[in-house]
Amino acid sequence: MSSYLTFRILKGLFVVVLISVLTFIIMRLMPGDPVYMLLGEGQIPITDAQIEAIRAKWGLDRPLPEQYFLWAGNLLRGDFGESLIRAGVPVRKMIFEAIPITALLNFYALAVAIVVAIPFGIAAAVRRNSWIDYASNVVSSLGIATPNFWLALMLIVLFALYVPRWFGDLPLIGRIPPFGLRSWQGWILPVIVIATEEMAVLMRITRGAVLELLPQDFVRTARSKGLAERRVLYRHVVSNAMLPVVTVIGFRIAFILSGTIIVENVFALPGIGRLFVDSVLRLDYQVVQSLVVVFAVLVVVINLLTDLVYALVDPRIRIS
Amino acid sequence: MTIAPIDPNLEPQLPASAGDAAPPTKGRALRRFFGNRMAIVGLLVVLALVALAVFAPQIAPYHPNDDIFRGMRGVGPSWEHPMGFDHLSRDLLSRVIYGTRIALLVGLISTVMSVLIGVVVGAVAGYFGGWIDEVLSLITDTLMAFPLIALLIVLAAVMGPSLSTTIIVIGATVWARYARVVRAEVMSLRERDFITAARALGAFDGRIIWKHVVPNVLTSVIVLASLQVGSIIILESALSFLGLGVRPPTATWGGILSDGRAFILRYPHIAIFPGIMIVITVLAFNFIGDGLRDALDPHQKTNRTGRT
Repeated sequence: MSSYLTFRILKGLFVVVLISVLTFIIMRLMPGDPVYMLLGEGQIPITDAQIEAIRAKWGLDRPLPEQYFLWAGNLLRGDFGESLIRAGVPVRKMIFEAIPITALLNFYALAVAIVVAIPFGIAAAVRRNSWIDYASNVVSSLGIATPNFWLALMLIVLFALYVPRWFGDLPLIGRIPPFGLRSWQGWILPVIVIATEEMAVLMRITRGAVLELLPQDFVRTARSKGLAERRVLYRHVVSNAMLPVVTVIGFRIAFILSGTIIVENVFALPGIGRLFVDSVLRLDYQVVQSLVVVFAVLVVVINLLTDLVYALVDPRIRIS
Repeated sequence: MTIAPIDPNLEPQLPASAGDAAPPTKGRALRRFFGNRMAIVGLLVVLALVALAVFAPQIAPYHPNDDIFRGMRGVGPSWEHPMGFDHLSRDLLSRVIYGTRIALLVGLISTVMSVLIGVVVGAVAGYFGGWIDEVLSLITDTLMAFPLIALLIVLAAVMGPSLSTTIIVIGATVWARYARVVRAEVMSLRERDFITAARALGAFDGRIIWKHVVPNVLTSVIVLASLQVGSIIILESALSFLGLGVRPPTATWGGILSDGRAFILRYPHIAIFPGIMIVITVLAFNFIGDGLRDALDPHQKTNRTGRT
């Protein structure tokens, strides 16, 4: 057990280091120069001496391996460095300002998705080929096939453009803004968009997991010893079906960035996804590298945790 | 590592392996596929889309870029122009029709590319084992630990956005799933008698992999690939949407959506139709994938669990 754990942790660390090296190299391959990005090309006359001074300040004049180790060393000490473009702003501050928005957004969305998807997934499996099964199948097929940025645009058109035009302010909710988070109503559309995607996946997984369990022997045993159908369902089927569902939820959390990059850009939300895209486009090496490493660590840790939780929950799995 | 019967990485659970449960014969699989109504619908839709892409110049009423209608900037749908005009007074219907070309091109070529890379990496890793397997698996794991869209954004920015960049970048990053599945299957195949027999007859490793191993994993790969075309089409449009895909003025669905986003409150109709086309296309490929899975894998082990 402990040797397995050590092995997995070492492997995870190796993956993170590899990712940090790759990101470092890839970022240096980007066409363009962050110094010009900062100064605005051709707008202000600048001397070569000034450029060299900025380079020296950022350490961009040193050999690449040295730059890497400097950055990685600081990262290990928890120092993310300073943003190149928003000169002087610590990367840590930028990330910590963006994280709550992305985290809350996904937390709400996942909560909505779980509350909707799990009951419907179970119902679809139990009443196979009923209208509820077909309806949930249609919803999840559509949810998986719909690009989240298009859904976002359609919701903006509907709720921020036509609903106010036709109905005026909605009761309780009032007016939904198309972009930004200036009022709490700004959260509504982004949460719906992310929740739809999560819901589609979770519903499918839940249905599949329950369907796989229903014909199993222990379910028949539970029934034949006279347990009420409802009790069989909840105690024996659903509790076991939650295992794969929890795994999928863990996986979605690990890849939170994939889900929010585009949605945050559509709705102009100042979260991690927006920060990431902006930083890539502006060649802000420090920010991009730090973000990638943070998320790689997240993925590796969550993968490890899911495996461990599995082993804890399911006694049939033995870790060696 | 004996762990996780259900892979935490959402790996579709593929048939244990071709062979041990008497794979359906070609005829029966075909019959089963064509007996599936949704799969037929999907197939017909894809054929229609292919026709649309191939004959775009004949079908589209106007040129997607050059026909500019003065004074029609952002005008909505009408009988002569069923999808209306975009912000540069171009006919949207023609642009959407031409967009089919890019979507299918990227969807199909990137899929083929990722299948090739994934099968080779997975087969080599699974067949040889040892340090080769360790290294290749580490690369695969590393790739899977990247948030895909983030990686695509960085790579597209590095290589400069264009059609070939989009195809290469997507193809070169989504192969990890195939590699994992193929590796697992090859590891179980490796110990089979027919492989030992081939080895005993003195066949080279390369020949064994190509002639005996690869054909046996193709079923799983085909199912996986058909289910992935749709998500690749979504990735392509996402890149174009962010301005990192195929460059304007080339008409792409994601690019038109990006125009639609910029003018969403003034000309809301621009964003509607390309999105509908994406949904229809992705649904069609997914139906085909589901149909193939049901036909080739009667145990229903492959679960479509979401996008990459």
